[in-house]
Amino acid sequence: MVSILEVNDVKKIYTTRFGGNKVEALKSVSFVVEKGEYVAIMGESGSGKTTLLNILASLDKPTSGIIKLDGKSLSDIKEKNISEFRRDNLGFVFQDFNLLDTFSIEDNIYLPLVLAGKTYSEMNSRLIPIAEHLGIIDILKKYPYEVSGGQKQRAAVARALITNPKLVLADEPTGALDSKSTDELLHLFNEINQKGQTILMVTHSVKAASHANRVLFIKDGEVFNQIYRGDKSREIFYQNISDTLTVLVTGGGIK
Amino acid sequence: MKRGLYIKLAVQSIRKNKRLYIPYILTCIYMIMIFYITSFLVNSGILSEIRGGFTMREFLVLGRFIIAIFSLIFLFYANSFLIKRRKKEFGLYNILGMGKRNIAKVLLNESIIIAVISLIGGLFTGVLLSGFSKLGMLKILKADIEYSTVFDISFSAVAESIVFFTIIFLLILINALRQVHFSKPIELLRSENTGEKPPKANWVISVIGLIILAVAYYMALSVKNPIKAVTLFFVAVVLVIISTYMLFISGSVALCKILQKNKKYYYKINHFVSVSSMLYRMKRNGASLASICILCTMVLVMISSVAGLYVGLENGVRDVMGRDISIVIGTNNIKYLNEKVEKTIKNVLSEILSEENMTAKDIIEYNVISFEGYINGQEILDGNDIINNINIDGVDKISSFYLVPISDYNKIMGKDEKLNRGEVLLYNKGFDYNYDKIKFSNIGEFKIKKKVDSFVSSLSTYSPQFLSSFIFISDIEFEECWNSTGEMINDGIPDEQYYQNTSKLFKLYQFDLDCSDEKEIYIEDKIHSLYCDNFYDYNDDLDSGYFLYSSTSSVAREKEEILEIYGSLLFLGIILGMVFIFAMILIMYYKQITEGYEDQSRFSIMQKVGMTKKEIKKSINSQILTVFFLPILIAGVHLIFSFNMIGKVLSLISLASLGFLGVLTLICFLIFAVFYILIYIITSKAYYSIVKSSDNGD
Repeated sequence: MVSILEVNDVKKIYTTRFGGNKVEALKSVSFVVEKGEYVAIMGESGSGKTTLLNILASLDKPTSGIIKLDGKSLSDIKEKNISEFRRDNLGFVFQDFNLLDTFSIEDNIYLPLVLAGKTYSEMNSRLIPIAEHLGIIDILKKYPYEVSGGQKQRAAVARALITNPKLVLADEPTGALDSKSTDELLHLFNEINQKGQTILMVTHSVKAASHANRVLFIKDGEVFNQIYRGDKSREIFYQNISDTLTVLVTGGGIK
Repeated sequence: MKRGLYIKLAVQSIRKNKRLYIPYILTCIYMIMIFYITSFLVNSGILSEIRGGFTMREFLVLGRFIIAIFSLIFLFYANSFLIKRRKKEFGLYNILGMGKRNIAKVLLNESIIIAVISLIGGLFTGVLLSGFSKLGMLKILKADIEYSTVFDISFSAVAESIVFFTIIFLLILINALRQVHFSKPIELLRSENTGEKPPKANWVISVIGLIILAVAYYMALSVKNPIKAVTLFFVAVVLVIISTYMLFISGSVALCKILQKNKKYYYKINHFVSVSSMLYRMKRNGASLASICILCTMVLVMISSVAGLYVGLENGVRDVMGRDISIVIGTNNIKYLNEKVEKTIKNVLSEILSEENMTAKDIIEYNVISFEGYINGQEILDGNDIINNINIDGVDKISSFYLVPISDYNKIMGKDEKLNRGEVLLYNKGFDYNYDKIKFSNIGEFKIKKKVDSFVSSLSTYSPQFLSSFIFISDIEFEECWNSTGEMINDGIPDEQYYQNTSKLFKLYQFDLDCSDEKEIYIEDKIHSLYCDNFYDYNDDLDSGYFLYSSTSSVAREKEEILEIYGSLLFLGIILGMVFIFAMILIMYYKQITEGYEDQSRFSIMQKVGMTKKEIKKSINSQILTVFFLPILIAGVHLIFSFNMIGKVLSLISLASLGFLGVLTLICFLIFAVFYILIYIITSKAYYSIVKSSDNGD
């Protein structure tokens, strides 16, 4: 298998604005994501999940360490090309959807392609199969305020997928959804993953994590543990994750 | 809770919201300053000492009234904007356990602080600048008064300002309290986060707006008659205002929709974000942008036309009058304008001049028969025929006709023209008359031997729009007319109508004097009073129904009278223009801030989706540039289209040529644009700093 994302000894230290206190958000994080994998990252609030995701998304820079996406080191990309790189290689799904309310659902999905300078016909031909798959064909002309949370999130997924990204980064994608929409979305992620899309998801939800192939646990800025699903049924994997989380939270060092 | 706490809270919240409050306080200071200065000038004793002071005072009182009303409305607007932005804060206070009563106390303390700062600041700057504005006013009135006490304080103006603005602040406070009182805490907290429907284009209103604007523009462009221009001017203004609002509010949305439908255009980096955000921006801001546009247009029209009147004054008066002093001796019967009268006139005149130790230069005298004529193609209706044919539409076809004997013409112009019986020379202004004969319905017809292109004066009013024609006629025929017209005039026309519509016979004496304007007016007055005495005696001797009259005029007096009005108008225009411009700055500033907060989250999303900072900046730029410069651009267009009409209206009272007015308008526009760009630079800085702060947030 080919590794698509390599994270090697990444460290992030924030300096507070006043007084110069240093906060270590990431101590030393290393892991590898293979092509076609579906990885969930779990951890408590303040464990550094969001920091890690921002760094992977190239929205933030690590203090030290190397991140390689498809063999290319993020730190080698020049500042002015970073947005372009992000646009072409990464797809994002956020907890609060991050759809622009001034655009129709269709235009929201087109946004990254318009930025990439694609023509309308090309964008449209890319959109149709994705929209069909995600079941949002009927709401394309509607505006975000007119549709449900689940529909919004599916639109956001469509926006993430339309650029054919190497990696989809999802930040608590089910956080703002009801249980039915959550199930639908997770099912969707599985389908996309089965078609070969690599997904990296940060989540609190054991249920969401249990849909992944692998779960990484982060504590105090380090990878604390990781478990693979392997051939386990989802129920057993769910139980495993839950157990690991209990250990994580109660603070025991036992693996 | 202790009182100290409220004050502390009030100070803190002003400080925390300084981005909103500093401009507000500055506006208050500015308004108070202008109000004080105007009040100071109204109360200043100097106005009773200088010429034109009375008119200026009247205008300033009017100006102070406008400023007062405007301050009230505008500060109300600004404050309700502040309250709206702070509702979240109040909601938080409320949830944290502060009752509405407590919030009211905080608001009261805030108002007191703001009122005190504004009054002190406004009065201080007002006192500081009142001396300069007084100098400016004297300069505009061209008063040669030694003015040494630059810094004096008018306590009555101080008192007026304090009383008036305290009332305004009180009203504003009551309004703010009302807003807080009628709101629910949860709503207060949430008030900023309501999803917005995409605006729908109202095609009907847009099209109607376009049609109305087209009608108004057509009106302005096609009007030829100055009298009609005056009546149509207000219609056009109302139409333009209505259509501007319609077009800004729904026309702009419709335009964005059209652009969106054009997929090739819409799905481009530069257009995609801009067009869709403009849609929302215009929906929210359409009304205020339209207001700004109309304010701009008004300020520009007001200042440029008044400046046109004021500056044009110098050039034209002399052209019309011919000589410094003019004396007219008129009658309705020739037999009273005899040698005895003529002699008296000359004696009196030389007496006065020798008393004053002056000599008259370039003396000219000529006889004139004047009457009005309605130009109906080749035929000119005179005498009674005018009354039967005149209506508003025909006003621009009425010309004053002046019959002058050819010998007078030759003497004055240094020519040697000879005319046979039935032949005339024609000098006409303001209309074409390309016939070889001139036909009058009563006086008869004459062959036009030649058209000449100048005479010593044009006798008529200053307006280039009013038509006037000189007809130089052989001496014999002039005498015949002179003798017969005396009777013709009164035939069938009741005495009361005499002044309104018919002919006059008069003798004109004109000469130049080498002296100051004051002296010139003094001499004119002296001549006038002596003549009045003399003719009063004469009139006792005349048969009933007949009279002799004299009138005098001088270039200096005409100039002074016009100066009074136009100078005062100009000064008022400048003061009001300054008020409006500042108001615009504040509206713009608040607009930018509001949008900044709204755009903050939007742009952080775009950055996550892969928009570069450069692209974001470009998009922001194109949007605020459009929002910002659209009003002034449209104002410019309004101005261009209104130009013909304004020129026509001004031509009724002004001496300025249209080209000159154009240059002036352009200068005003450019000065205004510079101001505008400055505002832009200041406010867009505020905007960027808000939008950028989202970068640090993550």
